[in-house]
Amino acid sequence: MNIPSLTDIFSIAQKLPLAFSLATFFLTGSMLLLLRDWRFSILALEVQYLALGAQLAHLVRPEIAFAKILVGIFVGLMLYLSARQAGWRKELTLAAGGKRALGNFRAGDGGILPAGRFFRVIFTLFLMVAAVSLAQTHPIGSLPPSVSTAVYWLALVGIGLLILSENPIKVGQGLLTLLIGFELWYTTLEGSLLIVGLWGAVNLLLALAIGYLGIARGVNLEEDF
Amino acid sequence: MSEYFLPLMIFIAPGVLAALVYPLRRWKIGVWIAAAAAILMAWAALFVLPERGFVLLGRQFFVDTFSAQVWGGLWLALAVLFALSAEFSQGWTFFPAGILLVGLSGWAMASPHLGIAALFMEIAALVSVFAIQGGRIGSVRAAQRFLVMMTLATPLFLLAAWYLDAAPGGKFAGQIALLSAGGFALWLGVAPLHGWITAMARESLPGATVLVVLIFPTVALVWLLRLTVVAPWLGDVQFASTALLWGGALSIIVGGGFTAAQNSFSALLGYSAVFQLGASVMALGLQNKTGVTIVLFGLAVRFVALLVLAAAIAIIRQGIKRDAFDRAAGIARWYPVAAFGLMVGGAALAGAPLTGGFISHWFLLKATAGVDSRLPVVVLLGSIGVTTGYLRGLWYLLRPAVAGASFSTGRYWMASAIIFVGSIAIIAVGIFPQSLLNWIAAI
Repeated sequence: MNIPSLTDIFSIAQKLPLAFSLATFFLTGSMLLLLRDWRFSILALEVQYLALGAQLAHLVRPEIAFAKILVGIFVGLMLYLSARQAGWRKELTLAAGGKRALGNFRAGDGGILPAGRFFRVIFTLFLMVAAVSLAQTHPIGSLPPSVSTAVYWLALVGIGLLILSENPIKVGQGLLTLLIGFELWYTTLEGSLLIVGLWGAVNLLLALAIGYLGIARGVNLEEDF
Repeated sequence: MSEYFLPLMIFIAPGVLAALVYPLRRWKIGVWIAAAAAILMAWAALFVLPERGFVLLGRQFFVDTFSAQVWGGLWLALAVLFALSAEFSQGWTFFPAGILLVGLSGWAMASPHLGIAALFMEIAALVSVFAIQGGRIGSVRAAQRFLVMMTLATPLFLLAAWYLDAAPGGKFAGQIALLSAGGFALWLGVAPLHGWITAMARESLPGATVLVVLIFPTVALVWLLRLTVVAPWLGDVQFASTALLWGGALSIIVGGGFTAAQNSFSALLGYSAVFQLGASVMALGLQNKTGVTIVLFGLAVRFVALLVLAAAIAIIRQGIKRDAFDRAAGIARWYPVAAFGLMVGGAALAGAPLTGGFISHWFLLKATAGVDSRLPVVVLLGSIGVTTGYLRGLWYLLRPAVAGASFSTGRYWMASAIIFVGSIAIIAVGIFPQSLLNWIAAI
């Protein structure tokens, strides 16, 4: 069996409609806003980087799109290790009254949904409507409509997370989501090798700094939003 | 050997030096090696780099004389802070992070591209997080707030730079002005975006606070001045001057007003820095030579005043284990040099007569009176607020000690020397400002 080359993989990604990536962004952004379990939110962030790569495969050279995915994988790894180190496992177990909280999809104490979830659902829906409206009334440059919508959505989710969260890892996910949205636009504008390299370094160092702050804050990773 | 080799090596050197200092950071010798490295870099910046450049990945980097002098000044300030940390620990990460931080600020000032400069400053901000947190467990508010603010600035600068590249003639002047105004406001900590400065002053150690408060606003001012040269048409944007004048005024009001109401010495430092930065922003709004003179004069005074304040607050913190006013009663008798430094540093930031700060504030009062008669009143009120805050601090320091109160005793020669030399410099510039004015005129 032949191992598919990078070009093969990206030719598949290019066949995926842009709307598919947009739907993925809507799903992952909602997960970040609505779920409190770190494993799900880090997974959502990872999927977001994959969707970024898939959308960029339509817009820029495949190597650049691949580099973005690679950065995303490292970012996810760093955040996962930091969250582990900071003690989310213990915290979630304690919150669930001694039982493991993973798999407990019911809302409530120790569940994966935060308190104030009704507000969060409304807030998420509001952001979705705002992103779609903004993309229609103020389309971004020459970007396809679905990419414009994705840029607005990711930026709004990022800002939303910054507003709603105090926890460094959650705030960091907000910043990274905001930057993913910006990247989706900016990568189509600027192809300078130095800027692409520095941007990758910024993403990795941001994940490192977030992880460090998460550990420095200690085990109180869960917040009742 | 290529003409680019030496400048490139000087810019790479901080990375190597940080790696060398890192394993030595817990030993006393590491402090002095770090300080020596910073002095060496200052020498290279001041005497080797001016008017030289290099190319990296197709991008030109160039160090003009002004940037070289500012970078040299930052390295000297870092050396002073390292010397201070020989007596007062600023956290182990302070040494490698400090070297990287100043090194990255040099890259940002040498880049003629605003976007690349912003990316270097973003990396510097991410490195700063480790110095600001300083290994403390618990609250991360200061570092987190700083991280968020600086990260939000980067996309704004990148877009502004793209617009600058896309139409160098000023077609997108409005967009560029708006985007870069947002970015600079975040870097400068202009009110109401000043939260990172005050949170850092309260939570972080004085050395790290002063370093970060020196670097980010300084690079912002260097870039703002550069934009007036490379994109002079930005001055034609209607709201640019008004935004700078009134953004500065808001910072002056917030900084001055809140300094008067503080109850700890660290908080005094944070809010008075916001006030002083506000004065610089207002001066930039004048958009003339006087404004540039005020900015540069204020920049030089701020360097020294903040170092003096860092040393004074470090002594007070060591003496009373905290830096709240009510705990500091009587400490002036134990540490008169710290009390003196606090007053001179505070007076310089407030723009009090006989200090270097007075000269720039006097110019600002005169220049703004011709633009809008309300602006000098704002400056004066802000100045009174800062003076009030520091006088309240002095009043507590001079009160008789509470019965049974104990202070940790120690002789802090290095901190005292920093306060003494810095205070003399501040007063000397206040009495004989001509030498500094000549330097500014030469620039």
